[in-house]
Amino acid sequence: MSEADKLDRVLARLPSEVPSMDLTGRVCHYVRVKRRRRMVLNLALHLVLIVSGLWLVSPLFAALPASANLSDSALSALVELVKAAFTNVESYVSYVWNGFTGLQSSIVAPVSDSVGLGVAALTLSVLLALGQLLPRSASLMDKGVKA
Amino acid sequence: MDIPFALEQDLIARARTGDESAFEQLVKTFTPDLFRAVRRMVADTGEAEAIIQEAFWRVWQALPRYQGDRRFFPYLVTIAANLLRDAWRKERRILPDEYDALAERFDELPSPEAQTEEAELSQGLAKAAENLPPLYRAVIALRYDAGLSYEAIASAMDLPLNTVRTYLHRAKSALYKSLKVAYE
Repeated sequence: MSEADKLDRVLARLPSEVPSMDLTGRVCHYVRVKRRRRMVLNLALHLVLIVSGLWLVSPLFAALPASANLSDSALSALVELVKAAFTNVESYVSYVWNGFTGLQSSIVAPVSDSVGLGVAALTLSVLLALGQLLPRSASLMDKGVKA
Repeated sequence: MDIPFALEQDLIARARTGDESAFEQLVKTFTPDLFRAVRRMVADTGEAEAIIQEAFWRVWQALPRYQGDRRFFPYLVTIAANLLRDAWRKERRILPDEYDALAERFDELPSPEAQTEEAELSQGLAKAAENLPPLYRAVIALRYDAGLSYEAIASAMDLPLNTVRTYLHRAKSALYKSLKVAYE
């Protein structure tokens, strides 16, 4: 056996310090604590998003009766309002406040922006919650994915 | 550490769905070997344990993206090596330019007593390995303690393949000097 081979052999079996008996327990505890902390942070983030989202959307509820009068049902009005908040703020404003005076429209314009932000915050909250749920359940299906 | 591949994959699949007991089984199974590799790379036990804890936390977070048909240990060691590499870079503990200068320290490495017993020779080499610069220690640990390929080491340490070869060669040369003295 050459000295290089001997060195390789010895290196592969170098003595090493033995880990302390409770290391695995501490690792598990560490991961558990980090998970809990992460969950609390996520919960807090969701609460902030939901509360601020509802607060921003609240003007929509005030405007809803007026818009409902203009459409067949309150539900279809709400759907239209949400759709419009994402796509075209101007059309949303004109739809909700159709018939109102120019002065009223100018007062409501900033409100419609806040509704859009509120809906965005609520949507983000829902997406974040789904994002946390989906990978763990989806992972069962992609077990065979290549390395 | 040697557990059947099927069992390993079963534990991973369960852990991916949030099964804590399966994850704890993975921790119990792989911690001793991970400790061996990481302890070789770092200066003290506390640092090694901190790296191991963080490595498992990263693994837990990354499990949903884990690709299920490869062995778990190289993956785990790579995460630990990434953490070490990032820590070293942050602390500026290693700068590639300094390596030539550090290589001169090889001549100062303590040589083990001239003894033919392999166990004592191993002890001497282990001691000598502790005095290697961090990246050299890392490639030795990843190669011999963790059993990674050159390519996997390059990937784990974010180094070019040839640099890994060079570091490994230099590290072994330094250790070889100790070996030679021991057999003379």
